[in-house]
Amino acid sequence: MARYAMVIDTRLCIGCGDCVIACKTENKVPDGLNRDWVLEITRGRYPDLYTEFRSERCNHCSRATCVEACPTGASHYWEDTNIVLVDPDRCTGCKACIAACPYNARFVRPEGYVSKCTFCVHRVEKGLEPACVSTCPTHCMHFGTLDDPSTEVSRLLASRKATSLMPETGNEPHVYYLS
Amino acid sequence: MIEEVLATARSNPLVDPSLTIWSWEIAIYLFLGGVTAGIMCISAMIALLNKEQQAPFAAWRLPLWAPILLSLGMTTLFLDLEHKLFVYRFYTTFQPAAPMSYGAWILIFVYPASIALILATLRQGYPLLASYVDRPRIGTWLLDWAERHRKGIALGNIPFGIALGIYTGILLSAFMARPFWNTAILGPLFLVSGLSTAAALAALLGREASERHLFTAVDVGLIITELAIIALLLISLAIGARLQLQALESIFGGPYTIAFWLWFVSLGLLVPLILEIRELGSTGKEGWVFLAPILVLVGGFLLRQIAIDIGQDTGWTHLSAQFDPSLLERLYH
Amino acid sequence: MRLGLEKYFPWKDYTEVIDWQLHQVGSSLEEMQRIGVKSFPRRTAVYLGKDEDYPFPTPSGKIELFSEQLAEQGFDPMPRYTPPDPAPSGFYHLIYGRMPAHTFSRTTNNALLFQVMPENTVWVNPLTAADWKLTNGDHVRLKNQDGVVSNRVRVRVTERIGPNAVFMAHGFGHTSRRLRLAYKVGASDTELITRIKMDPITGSTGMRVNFVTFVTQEV
Repeated sequence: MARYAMVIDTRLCIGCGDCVIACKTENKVPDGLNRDWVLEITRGRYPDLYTEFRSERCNHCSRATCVEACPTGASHYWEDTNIVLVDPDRCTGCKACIAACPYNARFVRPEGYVSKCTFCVHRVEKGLEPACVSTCPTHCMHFGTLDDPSTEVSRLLASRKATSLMPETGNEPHVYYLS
Repeated sequence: MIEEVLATARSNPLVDPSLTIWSWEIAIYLFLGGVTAGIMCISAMIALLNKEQQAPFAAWRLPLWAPILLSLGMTTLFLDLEHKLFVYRFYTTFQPAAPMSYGAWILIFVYPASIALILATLRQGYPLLASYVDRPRIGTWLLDWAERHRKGIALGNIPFGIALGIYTGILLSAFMARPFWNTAILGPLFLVSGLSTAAALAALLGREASERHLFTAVDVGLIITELAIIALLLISLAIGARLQLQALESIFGGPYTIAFWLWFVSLGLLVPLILEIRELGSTGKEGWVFLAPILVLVGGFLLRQIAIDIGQDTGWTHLSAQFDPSLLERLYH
Repeated sequence: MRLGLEKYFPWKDYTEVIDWQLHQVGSSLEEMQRIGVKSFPRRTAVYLGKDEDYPFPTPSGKIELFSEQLAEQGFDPMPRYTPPDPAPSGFYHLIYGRMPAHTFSRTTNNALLFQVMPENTVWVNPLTAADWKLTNGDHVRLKNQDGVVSNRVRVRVTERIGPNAVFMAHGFGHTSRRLRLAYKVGASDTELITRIKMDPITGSTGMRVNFVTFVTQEV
């Protein structure tokens, strides 16, 4: 399985939400729904504080519980990669995948089928970066494959301290945060 | 101190602030699925143990209820689907990793087994209905065939009944992401609850005192078993990690304390258990005998509803909103 | 012209003004209508070069921490820190600022940006919140030292503000009904800024000199 990863430098992120706007416009996400979102985490007591912003989305797990839970195969991996997609024509709207996602990254579109971040696979196919990555004004987001050690994401993960969200789920998430 | 809030507003319907994807539709479906499973097992056991004299209703008339209740349950299941036109997609594939895929196929295989048992008992249980089936030659042949193989059909109903009963629980167990559900003990719990509710249904609808007595006694045993399994469920949560303990807190002082202990455990299990034990000791006086089985049936539904609610309230992620999510409704007006 | 100010406006109409202005930078209206964009070579360096000598417009040609010019004007030649006025009892410094999602008060009604940040909150330190029995999401109004009361705003209890101050994002609390999304959402810091202080040397204004207290009844 080829692995695509997103690497986000939390030391550069200012929490502006531009990634959220980019996603909404690029993917025509209906009003009031979100495929990505930003968390603000503050540790400490005034005035000794540490604040971190974290742009979150589907983690495109390589052992995705949502794909396993789907009874119709609508949730699937794109072309033997870890990019998890939903096929609207196979989705019954049973919502098992929503219950199965520990990151609560999925939702039901008004049309009735389940939707989520696609890593902008329609752009990745053309060799482009996901919309959120290409928009980020602080250039804190990076995208690429982990299978080639020379890619930017591979080098960042090799040289910086990185974490993924709750790897203890066993889902093998592939959005990484540099700190 | 650690503060973790959403810096951008997020209020995905049915997901934020906590999951509400499944509601009464799924509770009814799991409940009726459990009752169906119980009916299949109980009717089959009566046939296999030759207890038709003692329990004529369960032997001859109860089987007809199985596909009717299951169909009702599947109707509410269908109501819950968000993309209804694509429901046939359950049956264009089999996904070996997905419990729901097994469930979809189990439901399909339950029907022929259940209908075969109805055919084997129809002439005895519903003579008028049987006379209609008897009219075409194929109908007579079918009824004759089913009656000849009644024991075999009954034996075949048991694995399907057990599979269906356990499936209604395992469906929820399989969600690692929801700690309250993520224990295989929900399978046996829902199976025993299904058997108990089916026994209560037989005790409620059976006219013979001998039948009521039999199923009251059976139900007492099943309720005690169910209480033991619930104790095991609580123990398995209590000895779990942080997420399991948090799930347990929701019924120990948390928002589901009253629903779980007062409505489900007390009114749905303990009160009917006491009533049924008293009934077994008495000479079977009329009047309040219907109360215990009704409470058991209500308790069976409450178990599913409460389990669904608590499970959706527990999880790995809790995104706390910084901004008022109801403001986003302004977008739609 | 109707105001009798023609001696300050010797042009027929505004086209002539633009033409005149463009001539001042070495172009003309006719040229700009033709080419649209005109680039000029840069005349000053973007950054100071390494070891480059750059004289500042001061008597010494250097950055002056101690300024004779200020002394000549009767000011302190080395400006000293002036502490802010302490907040009256029960009042807090009103600190305002901008959040990255919005630009001033102009974008709060933009449907996309509204979805990212639909309202502002008033940031309250947990110690202050305990004093006032406030929790996250409570509605309050803010009242400043001159009795001005704001629109209602939700409380965010956070360590990101100190116990002697509150913070709110600028640009909210619109009063125009036509701003369908932003109408009466959050509170406006601007209306609570009824006093300003002026720096006696530079003349620049400081607006974080107001104090507010909480109105928790009838909100």
